[in-house]
Amino acid sequence: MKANKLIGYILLVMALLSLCSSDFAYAQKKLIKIGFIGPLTGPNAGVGLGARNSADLAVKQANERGDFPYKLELVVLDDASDPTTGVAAATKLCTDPLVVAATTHFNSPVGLATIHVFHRYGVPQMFWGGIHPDITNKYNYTEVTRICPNTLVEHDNLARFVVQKLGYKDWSVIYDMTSYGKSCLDAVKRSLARTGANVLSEDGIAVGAVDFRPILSKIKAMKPGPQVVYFGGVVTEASLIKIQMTELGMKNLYTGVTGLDSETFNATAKDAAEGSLIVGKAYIDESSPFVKAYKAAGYKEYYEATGPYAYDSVNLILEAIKKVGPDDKKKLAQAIREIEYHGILGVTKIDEFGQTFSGGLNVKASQDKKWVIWEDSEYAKGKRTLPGK
Amino acid sequence: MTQFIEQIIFALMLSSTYALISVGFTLFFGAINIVHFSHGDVAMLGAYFGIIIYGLLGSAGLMGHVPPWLITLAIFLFTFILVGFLGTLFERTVIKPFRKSPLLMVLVATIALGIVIREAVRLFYPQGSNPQVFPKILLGKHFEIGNLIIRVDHLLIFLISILLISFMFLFINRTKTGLAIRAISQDIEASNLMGINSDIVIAVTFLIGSVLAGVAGILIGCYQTVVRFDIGLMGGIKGFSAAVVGGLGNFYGAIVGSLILGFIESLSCAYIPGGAPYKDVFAFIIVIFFLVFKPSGILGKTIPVKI
Amino acid sequence: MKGKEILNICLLMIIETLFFALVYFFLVFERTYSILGILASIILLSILINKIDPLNSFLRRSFSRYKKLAVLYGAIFVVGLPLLLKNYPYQIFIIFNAGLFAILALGLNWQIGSTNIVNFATGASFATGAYTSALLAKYTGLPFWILLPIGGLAAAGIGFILGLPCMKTKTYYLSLVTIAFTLIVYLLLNNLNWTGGPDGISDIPFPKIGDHSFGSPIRVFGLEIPFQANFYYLTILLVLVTFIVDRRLRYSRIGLAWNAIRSDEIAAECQGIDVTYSKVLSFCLNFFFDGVAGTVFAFCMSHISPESFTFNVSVTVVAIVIVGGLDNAVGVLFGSLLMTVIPEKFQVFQDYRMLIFGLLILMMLLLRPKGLFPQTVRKYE
Repeated sequence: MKANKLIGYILLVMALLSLCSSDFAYAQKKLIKIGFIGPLTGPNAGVGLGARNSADLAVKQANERGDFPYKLELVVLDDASDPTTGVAAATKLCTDPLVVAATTHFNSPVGLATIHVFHRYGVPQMFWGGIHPDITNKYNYTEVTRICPNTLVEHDNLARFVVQKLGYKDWSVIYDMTSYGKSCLDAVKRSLARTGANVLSEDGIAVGAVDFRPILSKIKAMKPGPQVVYFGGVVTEASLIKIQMTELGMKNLYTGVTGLDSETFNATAKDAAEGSLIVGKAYIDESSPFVKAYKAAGYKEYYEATGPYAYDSVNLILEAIKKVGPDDKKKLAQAIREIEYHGILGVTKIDEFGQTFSGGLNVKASQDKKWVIWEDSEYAKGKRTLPGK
Repeated sequence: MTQFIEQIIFALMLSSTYALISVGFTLFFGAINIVHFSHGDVAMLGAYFGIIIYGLLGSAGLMGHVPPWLITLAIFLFTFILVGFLGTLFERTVIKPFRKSPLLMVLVATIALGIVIREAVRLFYPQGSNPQVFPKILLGKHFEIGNLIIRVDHLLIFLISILLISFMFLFINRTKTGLAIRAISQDIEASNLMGINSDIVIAVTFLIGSVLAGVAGILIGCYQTVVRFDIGLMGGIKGFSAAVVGGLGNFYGAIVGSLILGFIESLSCAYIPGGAPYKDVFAFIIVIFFLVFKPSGILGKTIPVKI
Repeated sequence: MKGKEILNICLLMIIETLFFALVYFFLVFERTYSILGILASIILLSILINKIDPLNSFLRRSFSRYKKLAVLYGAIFVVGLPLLLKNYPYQIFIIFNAGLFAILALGLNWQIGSTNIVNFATGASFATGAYTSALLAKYTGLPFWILLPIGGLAAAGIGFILGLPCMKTKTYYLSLVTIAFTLIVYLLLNNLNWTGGPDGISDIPFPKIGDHSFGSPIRVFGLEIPFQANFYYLTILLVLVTFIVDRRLRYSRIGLAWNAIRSDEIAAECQGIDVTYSKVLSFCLNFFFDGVAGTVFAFCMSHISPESFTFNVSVTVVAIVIVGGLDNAVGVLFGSLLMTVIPEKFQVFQDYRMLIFGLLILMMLLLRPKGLFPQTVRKYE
């Protein structure tokens, strides 16, 4: 019974505390809030947390610089990669009068559900992840913009480089059954068709699968076999596929786009990663001020490939606020669309659909377990040869 | 032809990874009639412990000085102990209180336990949400027979699985403790009357089952190269399915069930065009099929209902 | 009316108001300590009511004597809630979600609580209702009010298909069949092209009553209530319908048949109860309401994708039924409120949300293994 009494007392104290800290969210001193929504729990938590930290860094730095006439606060909400949770989070942000704009989402299905919420309430929403073309192109809401490149652009770059410049014409395509994977499949087929390459096989993999040996074995046995194995999906499956390809002794060139652009790929695949080729996101140098500041701030999680996008999106929003002030959301949305922002990704300009023009894409090769920009790599210089031919 | 043999090998490997976990499910069900939904997550813990111990041994500077097979042995041993301990702990705290309650309670409790284990690993292990690379602790060599590449480490994984399952089989059927376990599975009260301390025997059962799961985790780590905090969920469901298809409570059944599941999954990937994303669908449809037409599983006893 | 009676009624009203106030504040408060404090107060209040006997018996007597008044007062609060929350649309959305889960859980209660069929296929039935109505809306343009029962019927059909093979299987095997079924449905929805694949279905229009679209706010007495309230009222209505159906079923031959099957299936069969019919009926009824809930869900979100219909949904609903109390409809209602609102409020904890949720379930099960409100035993007058 003693334990019960103790629990009873603790509860009593907590109840009393609640009375003291009476809390009505809107009776606070004047400040501006910027919303952040991303997957903080669930299978994409690594990416979401990295992006959150980067956004947090941007807000911290802005507050420290003090050149901004308001106090800034980042409101962080979890969408758990689930559309319902995302819509609830979006509703919460949009109905908070202190929230001026938001930077959101890694998973496209969640984004496709929330853009309607942001549009209804007229709150500017910038995507730091989530590459589905429909997000910007289908409804063309003024409020919705995207700072990361969309998948059509990425794959055009890839096809131009690998097919036309390097001459690899026969491809096998593997893709994962998520919104992202399917967008990649459609985009890569489109880009390959444009450049005259051949798609010899298409295989979808189940979400969360880890054993691809049956599929790879089948590809290996194809006569004539493909020169390139392309994977449209994210890092974990990508690294496993490369490892298992090496196990099976397959000597094809392995390519992908920004989904593979993470040091986790190299860390997981280790020696097997050597010689893989991707179209990657903006190259952030280890010695750049962003990385230094990120490390100095002591965040537990790595910023991942999308962190810089989240960082730049917050700063871009802040620039727009500087120009037109935080009070008129319509004006703010317009200002965000018109701005030409110089950040760690390079220059960001938004086109008529709300999509960024370049997003700083680079071709990268995996060399000695790191992604190296093609031009700097030993492959480009002829010192090492790519597999597959 | 080579391709076909290769596919069979992959199917066998997949089945062996399921077998270790499904044998655990069958053991728990046979002994004390509960379904331990978080068994798959215990296996995941085994894999993570393997990584942690490898890291500790490495930082203790033992890497270059001690022969690698000793390191491997050490990893297995320590994981045995840790996972066995944890598994028993889970039983004492989460399963024992519900012994007299309706079965549903245990079911939901173990599901909740699974959530807690997964989230705890995700939150408290550094970079927990990302997949972790499992260290190479088995020989990486391979030899070739014609066009076929056979890897020594895969062979080892297979052999270890078979060995472990055989050990367990012998333990249950030939030792005194095994006899006690079989006794409680038949009638717990009568066993108590016979002088068997059912409480301790149950704890031992969980110890064995968890140790098996821990080793399964390590072997899965070796085979799949990466582990993630949520592999326990799907792995558990598949292991459970395998045990059920074979007949819950029947040892051979677990193995048969694992073979069926492993083969269907693997072969549907390779030989059904466009089938790869549906491999789980095929596997589960077969599971339902078996359950409908052979409700107590393939080798399960049709239990006559006592009126 | 005697003075003592008036006093009793007032006391009852005060306690009810206190309870409603706590719920309101729990929804509205933002800061960590405030939320924890309110939760603690609610728990404290419940414990006090349980332990202090005079209070306990007083409440029981008052509720049974003044049932109509108490229920009326509760109804006023429920109907007026959106008005109180008119500045908090997010909270209205949460309660709406809780209502959907209440419908799911009440239906599942018929299977788990009454008939002892542990059905993990709620994710699949929910999905069937949602996808059927969404696809029909997209390709035939039928209005929401027709699609509502259609969604339910489609799901009931799936229930029938699932129910038949389940007749021969028992307990754990049955659960496994339902789990496998849910996973299959999820995978099919994700992989097939005509279901939209991983992108799902978008552009589902808002329902309309005459000129008033559910997408626009409600204007009454010169006040403007956010549009989420439209869905909230619809859901409350459906919860009420489901609850009434539950009451009628419980005191009907079917309810008795279900309980008989739960106690002893063979004896039930010997008594002349058609076991197969009763079990299949439980599947169909449960799934019908799940389908209806799914339809409402689809039309509120305007965009559905397979991610909303995973195994987790099934697990949540099963947990609600168990934590709330098997075979106890009121307990299930409370359970759904708790299990949907708490994870949302715990957003404050960000990454620790799910962990705390899991621990909470474990704790509740360990401390009150019979559920918040225990399994009711039939009263024979």
